[in-house]
Amino acid sequence: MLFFSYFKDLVGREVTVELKNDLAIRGTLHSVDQYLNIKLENTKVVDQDKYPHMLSVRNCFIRGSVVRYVQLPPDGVDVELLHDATRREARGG
Amino acid sequence: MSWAGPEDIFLSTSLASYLDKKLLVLLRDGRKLLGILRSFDQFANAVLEGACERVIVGDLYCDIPLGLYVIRGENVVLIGELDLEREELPPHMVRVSAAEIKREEFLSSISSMNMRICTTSFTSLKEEFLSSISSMNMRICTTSFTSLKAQKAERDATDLKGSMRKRMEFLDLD
Amino acid sequence: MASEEESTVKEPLDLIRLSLDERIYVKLRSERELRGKLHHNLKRKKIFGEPILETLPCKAYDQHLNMILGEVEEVITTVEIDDETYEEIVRTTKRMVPFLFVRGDGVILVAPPLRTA
Repeated sequence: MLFFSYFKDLVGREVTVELKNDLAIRGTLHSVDQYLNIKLENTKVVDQDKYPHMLSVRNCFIRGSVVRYVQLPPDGVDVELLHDATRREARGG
Repeated sequence: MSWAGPEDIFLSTSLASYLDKKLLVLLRDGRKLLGILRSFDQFANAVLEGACERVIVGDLYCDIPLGLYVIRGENVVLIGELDLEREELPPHMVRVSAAEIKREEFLSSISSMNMRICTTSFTSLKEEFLSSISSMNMRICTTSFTSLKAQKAERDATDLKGSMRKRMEFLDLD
Repeated sequence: MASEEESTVKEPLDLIRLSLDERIYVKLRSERELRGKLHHNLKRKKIFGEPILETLPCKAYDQHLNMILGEVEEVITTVEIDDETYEEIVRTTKRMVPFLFVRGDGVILVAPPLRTA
């Protein structure tokens, strides 16, 4: 639950999700769930030419299991945020 | 993905907000399906109505109609909402018939096979070639009986396969 | 790593706990390697405004080996075949990422930094 809480605190921030099939999508984190499924808004595929079928996709749902990395905003790893997440976890939330 | 309450359904990671919309579903094998989402569950199993597969080879594409599809969640990579205001594909891409796209697919699979044939060892090569031929047979048998054009493409493909076989005779396949 | 309790190793993941705040090596599927810093902080904090001070260990990994690394260097190794000579050419591509969440299912191994004594 630690990373679920962590990603919930990142909602509204810009992230780049890199999938196991090498597709990388940048967008605003809209929501996340306990499987770390991710919804992005205002998405833009990093290598657009290679994935023409993604041109008109603005919002998407990404299955957590296909994620390789999530590139986080440089100030995203806020000690306070992680602390809050840890505390919530300790409370069983 | 769990069913959220009605008030926060659009803020959750549920697929509920995508219901009854035209979507693009990317699968783990690289296939791209288009259709209207009619149902889903917590595994991302999904029901697509009016589904079609969008096959893209280079600058050519074709939407092959499939009908009503139930997709197993574990094969789903991404579900994207199509922005109806925007073009679905770049302007330079050309729509072609199902027969043509299958032909292109076949040609590009041959050329990638040629590449690999030059680089893999002889024994594994033989096996690979045999199995790819048989999977080609499979695909040729199961697809494209619908139109005359498709049948023509099939003949072309068979011709191609024949010529491939000739070119591969040195492998002593029999 | 202050108390004795904290530095004991009872199970494999304890080794990772001991690597918090240090640069670790992570080998991943599909010929990828990462070197980065596992974040760790121990801080005394007020809880709910009460004057109780509590030590909050803040770890950046979980039991799935999901983790957050900082100042990450990623190395991708690819093998290409030369068109003319058919020789294998091993290429490595490097890139830097300031902060990276890594999904645990891609992790093959995690190596703590080399320790002396």
